[in-house]
Amino acid sequence: MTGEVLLPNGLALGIIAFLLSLLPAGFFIYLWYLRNRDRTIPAWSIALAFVTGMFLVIPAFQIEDIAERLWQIISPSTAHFFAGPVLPLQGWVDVLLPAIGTFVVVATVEEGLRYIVMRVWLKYSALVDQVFDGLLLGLAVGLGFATLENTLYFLGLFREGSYDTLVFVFFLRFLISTLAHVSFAGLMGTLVTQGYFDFFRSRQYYVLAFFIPWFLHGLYDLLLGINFGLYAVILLIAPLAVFIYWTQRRDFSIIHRKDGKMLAVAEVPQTKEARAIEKVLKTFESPWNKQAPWLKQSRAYRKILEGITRDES
Amino acid sequence: MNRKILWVVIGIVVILLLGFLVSQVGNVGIRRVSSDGKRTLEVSNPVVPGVATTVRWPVDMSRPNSEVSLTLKTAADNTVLGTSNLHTGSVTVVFPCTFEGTEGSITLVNTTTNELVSWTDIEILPPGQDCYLP
Repeated sequence: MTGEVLLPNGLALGIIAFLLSLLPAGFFIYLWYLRNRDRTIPAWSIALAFVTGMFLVIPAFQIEDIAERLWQIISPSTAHFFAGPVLPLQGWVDVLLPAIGTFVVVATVEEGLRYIVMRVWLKYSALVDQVFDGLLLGLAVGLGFATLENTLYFLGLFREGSYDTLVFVFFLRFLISTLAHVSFAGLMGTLVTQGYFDFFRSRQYYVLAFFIPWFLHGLYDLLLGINFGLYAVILLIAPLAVFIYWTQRRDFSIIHRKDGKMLAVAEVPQTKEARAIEKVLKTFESPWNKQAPWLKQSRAYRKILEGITRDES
Repeated sequence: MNRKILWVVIGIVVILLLGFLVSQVGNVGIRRVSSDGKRTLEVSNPVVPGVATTVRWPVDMSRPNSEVSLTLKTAADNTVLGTSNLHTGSVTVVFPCTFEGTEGSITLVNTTTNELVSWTDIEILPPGQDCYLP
């Protein structure tokens, strides 16, 4: 075969952008899942959740495009507020109209799609038997979403020719966008799972599972849009701190479901070592274990008794 | 416990540092759609008040020609600098000598529909000699 294999420019850049976007995702998945010895949910489930999160970007962006075009038709003079205000800010209109864009459109669409996916998944998946599983799945969905969004953002910047700050903005955005989606989606996954396993307060959890990430996402986008980047990043501290605290909560490891059926009494999870010991003891304590020491002990005890009674007689 | 507190403190410091970098760099939009898509006005930046300055924009012949006005937007108010036609692609304006402050933005607005066509942010130097000449 002669000649070099050349990829179209756009495709080559897309591949590079995607591979770079995988770096923060890989790091966070390693941090919260891969380095644990006791994995409560199989890796293929996490991978599927990651891919699902990526595919959610497509309908999310299409719906946002439709919303933007609708806004353009309804009110062309204010349509530019969908993308953010023209700085400097002059009055409350410069904040209110972009807020409509972020809260009513962007946050509702993105968090809404994630909410629907997680409600259906966590309800019907037999593998999800602990609240911690919901947290991990939410994390994976959020990471997938952030990965593809970062890839598209990088490609957009490159096409516009914004090379001067490309690298700096790119890496900053990698970290911030990924952290934001991780915390919002992680909180959502945890709350949805808690709602499913708690019979008495399920509705409260379901409502919180949507509105807390929705509010945080809308506010976060708004603060970035009106050039209050520092406050937007400070806003991230609270959900991130809560998310990290929840990853350490032992009660989130309680097993509520077995083989797809809800347990009447929740169980404490067993470690791998405990399960191995149980397996060994099962064989050891089996009535078919001819080598069991208590059989020999019983035999020896009987012989001693016979000897004593013989001597006495 | 001490180690956990240390990691929490380190994490908060890293996030605050990121926030500081974001505020300094700017342009770190979280969304795919950003107002930068319309940031297509070209002007010699910083601008000098009192001096005739040409502002240019890319012409999209697929859009119908219409009258557009160039407005200077600051934190205090909006000042119309001049008008032109969309397909002309440029307008020469004089920035007001009475301007207070150093930052603002210029917006190109379709006068018929009030639709924002293009914008960019600008820095404004103190008034030059042209503002004081009789």
